[in-house]
Amino acid sequence: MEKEKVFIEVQVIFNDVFSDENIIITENSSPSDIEAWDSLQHIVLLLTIEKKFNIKFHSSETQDLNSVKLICNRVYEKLISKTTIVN
Amino acid sequence: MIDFLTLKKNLKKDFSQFKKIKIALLGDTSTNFINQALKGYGYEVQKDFEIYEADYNQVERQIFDPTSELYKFAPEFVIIYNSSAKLQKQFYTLSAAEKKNFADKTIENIQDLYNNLTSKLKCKLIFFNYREINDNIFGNYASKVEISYPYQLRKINFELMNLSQRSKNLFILDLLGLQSHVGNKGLFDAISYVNADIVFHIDFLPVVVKNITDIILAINGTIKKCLILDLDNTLWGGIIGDDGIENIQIGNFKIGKAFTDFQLWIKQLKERGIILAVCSKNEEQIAREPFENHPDMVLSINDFAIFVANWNSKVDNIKYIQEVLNIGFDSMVFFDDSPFERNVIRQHLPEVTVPELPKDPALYLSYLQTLNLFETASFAEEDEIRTKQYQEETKRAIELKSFTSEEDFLKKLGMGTNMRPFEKFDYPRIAQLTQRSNQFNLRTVRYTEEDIKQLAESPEYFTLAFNLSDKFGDYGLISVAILKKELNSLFIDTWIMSCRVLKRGMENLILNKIVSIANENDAEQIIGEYLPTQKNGIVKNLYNDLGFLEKDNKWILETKNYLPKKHFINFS
Repeated sequence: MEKEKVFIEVQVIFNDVFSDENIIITENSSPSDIEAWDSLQHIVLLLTIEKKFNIKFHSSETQDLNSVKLICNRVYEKLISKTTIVN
Repeated sequence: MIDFLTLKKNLKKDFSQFKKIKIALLGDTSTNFINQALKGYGYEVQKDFEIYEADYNQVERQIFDPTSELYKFAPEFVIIYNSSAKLQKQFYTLSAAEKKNFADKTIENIQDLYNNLTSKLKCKLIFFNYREINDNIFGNYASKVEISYPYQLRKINFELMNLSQRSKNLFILDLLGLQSHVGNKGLFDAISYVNADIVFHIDFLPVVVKNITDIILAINGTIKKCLILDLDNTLWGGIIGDDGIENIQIGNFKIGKAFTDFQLWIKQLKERGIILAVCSKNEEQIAREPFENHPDMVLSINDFAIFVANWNSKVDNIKYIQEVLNIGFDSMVFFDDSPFERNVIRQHLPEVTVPELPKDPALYLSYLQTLNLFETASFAEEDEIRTKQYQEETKRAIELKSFTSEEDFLKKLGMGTNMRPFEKFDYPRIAQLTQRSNQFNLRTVRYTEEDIKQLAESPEYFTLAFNLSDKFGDYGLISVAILKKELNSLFIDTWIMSCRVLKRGMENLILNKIVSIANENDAEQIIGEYLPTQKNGIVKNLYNDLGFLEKDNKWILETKNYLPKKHFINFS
């Protein structure tokens, strides 16, 4: 999956998790821009992303993924390493 | 199963038309997601759960402090979720001597919580039992070691069942049973637990809140009473009309075994008090044949209250079954292997519960058992004979047709009643009547066994329980009345009657009795009240028909000029 596609999927997940179609994310979006993005919703967000992309975050990395950019990059890395292993 | 995000989305929907139920949620880990999921699940069952979620880890403070937010909120239900992980941590800090008594101490603490809570607040406590954890400190040998965590944990879970049997307002949410369905991986999310003290896996949340809701709804009287069954490829493999009795699959051989096990389970439901009905597209004679002649059938014709096999649509047949049994569509469950029939019923009779059935009959049982379709909040021994009572009712219906006047019919029925204040052995059945009866129920107040006991012992109340029998059989306990003494009057707090004995004259007999109690106690008036619900329209005019006069939404009967009403029931 390409990086852009990851971003588009993540956008959909944001709308889904926050039950709000009006949230439009940018690379720089962070909990300080999106009001509903508190620590609990952060967990739901990452769990939903894990499920969607069939990946697992390490328990130590979840707290650090506090922007859209960091999330997307990490998802992308995990997808790449997954494909590499399969190949 | 519906997913957590869908439940979360429900939170933004309109709950204002739904019945409000106040619930307090307490726990020793983060309960926030349970709160959201539960509230959202309420939308699915059209209930407005108003939830007070205590701050984290405040179970004891909220319950022991009489001025706590919990008591200000005054919920009908209190849910406590204490986690097995925390319990384990506690256990590990103990000395060997203390470990030995850990289960007893824990149960004592829970009992304290329950007693304290229920002495301050009229409510039901829903308490989670503890997820199974084998810490493998002792390996398989743990069973032999009293101070092992598995030993103490299982003892706690076992004693919790006993505690709930002694404590009528304590209901156990069987987390352990759910764990046996989804496995520990399906239940417990170790990463969320480490990061945020959240125990449950996000995909498990809907399961757990569904089960909480099942308990709450059952206590409030929403229960399943009847299971309607298709025959071909549902109760046996193959099609009886095409394959013949020699070739249908049932018994101990391969796929036949799946159907045998399925029938055994259904037979257990029947013995618990679920009424069974057949609804099959078949020639009736052919459909009956396996029940009469196949040696491997578990279910027999006598297990069914009603047997409908013809070529009419199943919608019409289920409507017919509903009429004969006189119970609500919402108390019916329908099993059919055909996706077409399932969808037709879902579309035309949306109140009937129609679970999916797996394509492979080998999976029927394990799948259906995860759905918890038959939650109940009571069990009385009389439940076991319910099918017989419905069969007798069918015979009465046939005899009634042969009489020209209803009076003749009633005289010939040879009815006898037994009347008494509530007695101890009646408490379970009476509590159950208050919980199950929806139609002939004037005020629809639900009582637990504990409530019934208190009413029976209170000098402020008169309680009456009535049995009825006739030449066809014994109806058992069919009506209760709870009367509250007021200044110069008696208030009918509760009057419930089983719909099976409508139009038998019991209303007249009971009112005569109420009036005589009023006279003995110098009460000049009897005051009745009708609180309408969606289901009790049948008694809307009861007080009017019995001669009460309406005044300020209450119904008044002056006892002075009362003439005893006519009936054909003997006292035994």
